[in-house]
Amino acid sequence: MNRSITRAFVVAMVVLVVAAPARGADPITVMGEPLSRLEFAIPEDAADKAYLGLSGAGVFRLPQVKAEVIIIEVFSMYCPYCQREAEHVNSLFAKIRDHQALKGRVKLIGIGAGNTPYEVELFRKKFSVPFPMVSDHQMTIQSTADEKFRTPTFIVVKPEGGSGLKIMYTHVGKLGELDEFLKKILF
Amino acid sequence: MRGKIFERRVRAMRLGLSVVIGIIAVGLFLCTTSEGREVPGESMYKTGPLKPRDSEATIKVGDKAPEFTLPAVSGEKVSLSHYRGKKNVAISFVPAAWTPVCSQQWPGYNIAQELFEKNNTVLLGISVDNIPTLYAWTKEMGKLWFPVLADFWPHGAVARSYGVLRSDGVAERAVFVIDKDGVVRYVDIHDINQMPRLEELMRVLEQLPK
Repeated sequence: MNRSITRAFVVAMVVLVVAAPARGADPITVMGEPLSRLEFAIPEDAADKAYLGLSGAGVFRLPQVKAEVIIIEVFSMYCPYCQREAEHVNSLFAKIRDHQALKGRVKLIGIGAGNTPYEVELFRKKFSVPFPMVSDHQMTIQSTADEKFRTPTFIVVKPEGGSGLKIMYTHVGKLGELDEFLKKILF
Repeated sequence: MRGKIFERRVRAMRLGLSVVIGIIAVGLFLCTTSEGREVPGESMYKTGPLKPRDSEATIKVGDKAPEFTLPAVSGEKVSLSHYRGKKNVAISFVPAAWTPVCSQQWPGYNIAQELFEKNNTVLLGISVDNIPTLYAWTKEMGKLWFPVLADFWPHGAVARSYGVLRSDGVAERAVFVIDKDGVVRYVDIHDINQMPRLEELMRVLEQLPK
């Protein structure tokens, strides 16, 4: 009997490991086409404009961002988890900025889901966020997924052909170890 | 021969049962240690859309604010009159702990401390929940800089005195601003399903005499 119980546990373990989704599997399915059509206000700050490769005023779409890969953080000023994760996301920015191979090729942008520009600015100032953050007061980001967005959600995209986006990876919740995160999205 | 077949069946059943028990046990372990625990909203009770407003307003701008003394999560007792002549007071009534919107509204205020202070205003958060519930809930939000008060017993008495107690015993999502003289300067009995905008509140605070 003892042997059969041990065997059963081993079988159960194998069944669960095979059946369970792998860690890091996409927790939310985001559609690239609607995401590529969303419009955000061009930041007023000159440094933000330069970082994103934008100019002038008005609105921009994500495929216009000058980058090979864009890491989008969907956040909310009101979300305590986003607040706690802010410093860590700042470290991700610094890591990319100081990385010879990634510098200038991978860009970060925050999208304040349901936040007004005032609220986005408050979050940015409070946590000294060094990368651009834009307001999505009307929650247009929700049109890119069939399930409800939770914050923070990270969407990694590759701009394609000037107006398209390819979704490479999505992640809900804490980023975890930064090198591991970068490995997942870049290699 | 029949005996052997029966024995094999019993053994197979035992094995099957053990596999099921094993799957449950291992599954429980995987669930409780999954990274999903960090994901926001997991502990929230989904209320669904509620009647936007379910009370009769009794307080208007220019009225004297009803006095109250309530216990705070920190252990002290807080009275409105304590701030008379010293600070403006913003009161944020929220419907209930562990519900959507409320669970984000105060964390939002929590990163705006400098803005409240700049306008010589103290913020008081009030909920009809009891202290242990508020303790657990606000702990999830991180360390809050403003007092959180329990309007639990007599149930919702302060919410009632401000005209924001709903018929099911929870409060409206309401913001009141009271000046240093104890006079109500702003009333926003908000749609319970929606977040009051922070800049609207700040606009009001900026206009108050410091």
